[in-house]
Amino acid sequence: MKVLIIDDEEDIRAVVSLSLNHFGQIDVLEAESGEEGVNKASVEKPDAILLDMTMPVMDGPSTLAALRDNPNTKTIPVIFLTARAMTAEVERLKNMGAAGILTKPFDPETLASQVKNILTTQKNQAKIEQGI
Amino acid sequence: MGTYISVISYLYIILIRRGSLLTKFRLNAFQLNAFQRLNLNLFHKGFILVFAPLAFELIFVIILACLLHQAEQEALREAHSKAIITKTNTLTKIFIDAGASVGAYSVSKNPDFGEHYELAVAQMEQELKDLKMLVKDNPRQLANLEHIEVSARRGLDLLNKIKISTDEGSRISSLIGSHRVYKELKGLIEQVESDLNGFVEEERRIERTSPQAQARARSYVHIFLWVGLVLNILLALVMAHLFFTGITGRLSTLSDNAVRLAKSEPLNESLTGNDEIASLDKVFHEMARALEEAIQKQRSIVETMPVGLFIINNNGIIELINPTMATMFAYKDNDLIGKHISTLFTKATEFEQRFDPIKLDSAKHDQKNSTSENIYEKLIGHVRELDAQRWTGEVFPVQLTLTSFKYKEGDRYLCNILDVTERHEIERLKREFVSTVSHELRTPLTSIRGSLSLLALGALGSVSEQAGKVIKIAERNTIRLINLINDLLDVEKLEAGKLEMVFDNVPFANIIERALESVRSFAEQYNITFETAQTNTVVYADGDRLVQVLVNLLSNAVKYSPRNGTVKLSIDETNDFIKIGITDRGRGIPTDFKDKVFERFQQVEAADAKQKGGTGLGLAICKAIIEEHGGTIGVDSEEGKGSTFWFILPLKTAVSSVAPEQIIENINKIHKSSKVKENRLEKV
Repeated sequence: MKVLIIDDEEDIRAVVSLSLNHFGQIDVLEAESGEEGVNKASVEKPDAILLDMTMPVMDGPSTLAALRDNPNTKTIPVIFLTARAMTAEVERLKNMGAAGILTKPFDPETLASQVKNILTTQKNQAKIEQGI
Repeated sequence: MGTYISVISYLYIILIRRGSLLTKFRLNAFQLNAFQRLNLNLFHKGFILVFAPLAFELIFVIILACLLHQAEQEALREAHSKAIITKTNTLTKIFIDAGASVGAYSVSKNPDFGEHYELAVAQMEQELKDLKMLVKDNPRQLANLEHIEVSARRGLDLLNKIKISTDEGSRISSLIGSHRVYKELKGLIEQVESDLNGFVEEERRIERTSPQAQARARSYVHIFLWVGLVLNILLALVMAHLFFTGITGRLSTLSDNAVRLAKSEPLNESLTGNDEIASLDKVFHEMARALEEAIQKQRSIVETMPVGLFIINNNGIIELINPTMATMFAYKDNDLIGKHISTLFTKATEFEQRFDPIKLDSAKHDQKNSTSENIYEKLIGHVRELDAQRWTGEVFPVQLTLTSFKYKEGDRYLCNILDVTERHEIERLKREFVSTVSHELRTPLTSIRGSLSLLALGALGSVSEQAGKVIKIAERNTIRLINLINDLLDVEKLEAGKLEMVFDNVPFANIIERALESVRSFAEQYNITFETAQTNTVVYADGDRLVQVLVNLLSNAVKYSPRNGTVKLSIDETNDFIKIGITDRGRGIPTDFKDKVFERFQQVEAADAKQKGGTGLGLAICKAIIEEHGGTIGVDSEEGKGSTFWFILPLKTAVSSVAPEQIIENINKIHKSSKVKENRLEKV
């Protein structure tokens, strides 16, 4: 399993990387900006993308939009990682096509399982939709 | 005369009252000034008013008396002259008689004639004496009389000589002698006669002039009477005028001033003079000035204060505004007056919905007691924040407060409006600041917590026991810091009214279950067991937030319970409300602290923050969440025995037909009844 983390904070990328790697045996790719993230995702085609909300130049929502615009990355599930999880915002992001929202600070031990849960739910829903 | 004056005064006053006679008689102004210039007080004025006419009348009477006296004197003089003339005639007759008697005696020597002569001489003496008495006041006539007397006496001497010579002498010698004597006598008689005539003529002249003098005196009296009457009328007019201008007029000015003072209208010009009325008027003016000053002071406060003030009537029509109001709403001076209060606010505000003039009208027609007055009455004492709209259409936030007062034309409401744009801006900046700072804090904390957790969980290889302990401490404190930031953010959101609530129908049992699940591991640390009640109730609420409240209350109960204790979660229900109580057997809360525990950063003991953890914000957040649900939260506690934190939620929050006051009342009821139940249970 391969996950791309897009966050301008190197420390966060490192902690996420270590947590997912150690507790979920997940390979982690890192990108420090939205632009780099879109490019990397386009090339590497990860199973999921963890996307930070607040970044300079290209923030979370615009990166999500860019990912959705790119045919290569169109279907990759995106999970937001945010420090400001307000209810209204959560709704907005979900409407934009986010698979899930995780709040900072996260628990390293459960981060991997949370990501996996979101992906499973997403897959099930996709299956149901396809079945229909 | 007195009647004249009173009648004239009366007429005068009537004239003055009816029209402005004062303006027609410019003469009076001069008199008034003269009267005023004297600086007399009321006593002096009264004195003049009484004694001036009196003195005038006295003089009038004296002069009249003199004139009458003069006329009388003239009459007397006439009678006197008549008496003198009579007496003179008698005297002449006697004189002639005496001469005739002597003549007859000398011829006949009849003693009868001699006696007759003697009598005539005696009579003449008497008559002369009387005449002297009568003319003694007229020196000229007296001199004439004396001259006549001398001649008469010489005549008498001659007559005496003739008589004596008749008695003793021969006829011839007597004849010769008599002839000479006769001659002399004749001359004397002529002399006396002419003197007497002159004397009488003089008296006749006096007698003749006397009736003329009398007539003159009478005409003087007449003239004087008329002139006096006219003067009296004039004097009466002047007095009446002085009385009016000096006293009555001034008194009416004074009473007019009193009325003006009561109506706070400008007073008449100050009265001049030095009398009691003027000093009273001065007091009035001073009062008016003091009043004006006080009003001016208040007005300047009202006009310069930065708060918009306006008064509305029962129908919400603006009747009065202060200048700040016009400036605030960008209206021209008094353009706002007469407008409805709702024009001040945007269409979207609650105010418009509730105070629409049409709705007000229909409310008025409603026979049930919901009159428009009640609507304003309800607003009194509440500070409301509304969106106001300027004349230009610009919208800005304001704070509105109403107070009512009684006015003679009915109830009025004094409203004050405070432009809170600046405050809102500051609040927004504060929120932004808190939000930014929190975010900025959270990001590094995420790294720290993540790193520590990875270390603690051995993800990066095993660490020594001591290192593990230190890492645990660091991790625990990091979590505490994160919680504090979360709570702070919640509090800020609550204050800004931005706490987001997602209402839905949630089974309450589910909420309890989730809350218990969250605190289970924490409770196990303290070896606390939970005792819970069952419920099938479904609430219309934000489930996550209620879980937050329950977790907060339960973890507090765990923290403050003695080890191995029990925390009881009880449920009381009616058709409309549900009451949840969380009871611990901890140390309890002092009575005077019961209300404070729901305030921010309030912990019963300062050491609690360290010992028990917690930010001192939890209960404040709980209170806000419960209130957002239309419920109420509280605590019953007995020091040393434990506490029960409870909250009551209305079961039909979605229905807002019940007035908030009603809800609170119901809550109080249910709270009391549940208390009674608890007490009974305890007794059992």
